[in-house]
Amino acid sequence: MTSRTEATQILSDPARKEILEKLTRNLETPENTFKVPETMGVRSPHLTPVTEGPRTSPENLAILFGRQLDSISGSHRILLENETVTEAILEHIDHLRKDSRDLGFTNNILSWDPRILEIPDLSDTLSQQNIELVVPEDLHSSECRDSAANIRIGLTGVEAAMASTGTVSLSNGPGMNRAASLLPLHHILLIAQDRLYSNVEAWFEALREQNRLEEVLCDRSQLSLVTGPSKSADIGLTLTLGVHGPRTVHAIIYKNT
Amino acid sequence: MPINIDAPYKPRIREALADLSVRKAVDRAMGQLAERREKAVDAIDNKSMRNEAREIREQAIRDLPVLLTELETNLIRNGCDVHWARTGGEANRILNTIAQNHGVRTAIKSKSMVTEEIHLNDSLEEIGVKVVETDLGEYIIQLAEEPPSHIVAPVVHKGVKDISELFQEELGMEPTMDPAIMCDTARKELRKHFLVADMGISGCNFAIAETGTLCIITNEGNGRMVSSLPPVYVVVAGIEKVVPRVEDAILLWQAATRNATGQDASVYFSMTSGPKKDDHADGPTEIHVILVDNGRTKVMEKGYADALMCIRCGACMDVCPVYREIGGHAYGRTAYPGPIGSILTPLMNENIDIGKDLPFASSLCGACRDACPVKIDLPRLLLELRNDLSEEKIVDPLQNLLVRSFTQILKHPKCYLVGTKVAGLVSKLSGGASQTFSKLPSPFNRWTKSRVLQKPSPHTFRKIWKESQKNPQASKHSPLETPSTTGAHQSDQDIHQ
Repeated sequence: MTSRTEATQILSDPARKEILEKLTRNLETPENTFKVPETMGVRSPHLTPVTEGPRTSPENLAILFGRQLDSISGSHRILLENETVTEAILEHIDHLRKDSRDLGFTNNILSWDPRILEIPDLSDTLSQQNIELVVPEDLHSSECRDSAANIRIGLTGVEAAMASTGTVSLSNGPGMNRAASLLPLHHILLIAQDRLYSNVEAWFEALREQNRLEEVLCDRSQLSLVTGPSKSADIGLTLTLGVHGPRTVHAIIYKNT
Repeated sequence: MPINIDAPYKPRIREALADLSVRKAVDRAMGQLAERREKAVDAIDNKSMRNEAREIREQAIRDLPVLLTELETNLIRNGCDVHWARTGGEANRILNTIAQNHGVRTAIKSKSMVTEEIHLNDSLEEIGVKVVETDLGEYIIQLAEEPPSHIVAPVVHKGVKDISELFQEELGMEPTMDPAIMCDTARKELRKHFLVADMGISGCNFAIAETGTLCIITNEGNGRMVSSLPPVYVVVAGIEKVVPRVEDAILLWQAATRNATGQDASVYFSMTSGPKKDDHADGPTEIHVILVDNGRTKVMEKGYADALMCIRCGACMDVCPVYREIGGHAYGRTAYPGPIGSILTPLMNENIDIGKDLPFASSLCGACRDACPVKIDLPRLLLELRNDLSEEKIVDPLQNLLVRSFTQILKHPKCYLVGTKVAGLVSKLSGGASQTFSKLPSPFNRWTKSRVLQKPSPHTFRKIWKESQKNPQASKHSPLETPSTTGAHQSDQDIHQ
């Protein structure tokens, strides 16, 4: 199954044996191994969620999530009954075009497969406005990568959204690429209200209950918890946005039909 | 110019103390980080988070062999290649082999302390691979050819002006003092590397045993880039990074970010379990995990397994009065400065001379212990390590002799009585109004060169005590409150603590 080379294996196997033996030998006498052990290896049965997560209605979770995302330099919009997701996307793009200090918007959006986004008529309505959704197939091909690299706006759904920290979880899988939430300068998130959880602990609790941990973590190869736009304070302790990932993150929260 | 980090301990510290601009920058930055940290931990039930984080880390270290085997099994099941390395040299040889097998020319790297520790960049560059640091701070110091000075804020010792000049010189940036423009310049420059690199390299904050998942914390998104864009992704992980369950990693992630930067959550927490599947558009096609010992089993063998619980948040540095004065470079050529580094550096290095002075570079004030999110009793470990080093006769023999003689005096009440009387006499004979000695004859001048010595009280404590017992009203102050005896009391504390 593994493709590891003989050369590294020759080095690695005696190392593995020696490391594990050393650890086992040392841990046989924990009184000599630790100076100030506290717990004797005993753990409480449950972990307490770090941030409080009120068990409240999806509407309230949407408000909490939005407020939290705003506080970490993101932005959001909660759609009313009569507003459509596609209109909200178009309005946000207009806003970005007017407001942005970046020129060179193309009419393309780097996106997840519209079939996964489940927004009725999304591609058609956007293309009427001359905006095309680009769904990359293989980012290891240089042609695909070069075209994706120039797109300024990314559009994705989420696996889940956590109200207490303004965090979203993005997994990758068929039709769900990592690039759309990573390469463009602006990221638009589509969040169906039933994907909101009070906090990250509540979501993992649900995954464990539903026996979906393996599926979400292992089968998808990477799960990213993303909390607001890319940032750094490395230069003079001044907050700067969009260091490598998106500079703006805008969440559109809608009711599932 | 940064100080010479390869200089011996004392000249190095002197040089660090003389650099006022760096001291000011470090103190300001640490003050801000400490303030943000305090706000973030005060906003939650920090007591319970610390207790639980401690339980997780302590259990993980106690169960290391079992958890590492479980991690390995699950990583292989997920399609990763797992390698083991006893030393930094072995880890580098494994990495070089992987790089050569794939004809790697450029590698992009996310910030990682373990790769600093094993000097991975130098090793790859020797075989002709260009290594680009992608964390903005690390990138800046790579351009400046300096080592990092803080594990969370590596460029904390450099001001905006320094960085602007560096970017103008190295990247041809127009003169500016606007960090946003400087950041954009770096984004454009680094993006080129992201898109063409053949290999991504990162460390690992937590490795989850039950699912075989490798977690990295970043704010800029470079961790996600490094683990997503190149076809080959290599994770270098210290063997202590493993945790049993997913929920453990989620708690530790929040503990780390609150304590490192005062954020509720870092912008990115990337949890990688395996290479991309055939129907995925992106992600590496091959993932190699190198599990590195490089002195960690030695730390355990010497009885300091507590230090392996560290989650590298840097809180102990932010609150440390010594670190805040001297900065990270003063700790010498080590990936780990500050209080935790003063324990890890001497214990992990083959050559004990590296870092043998560091356990003494602490006032043992305890701020680090109170801040540590996994409740490592750092002052206690520092003190134990001082003891071990002096028993192994690794510290200055004269210092050792003095401390040992003093211990003997304290152990024998009669000797102590004679000693205090002699000290009182010396104090009287020395004359002058000053309460301190500022210059002592050789060899004791080694002490007074760098600090003043409180003069012993001309009256012994016993004498003052007896008098106060005879006539309690006559003495307005309690004997313990007189300045000179407070000084004597203080030095006893130092020795006995």
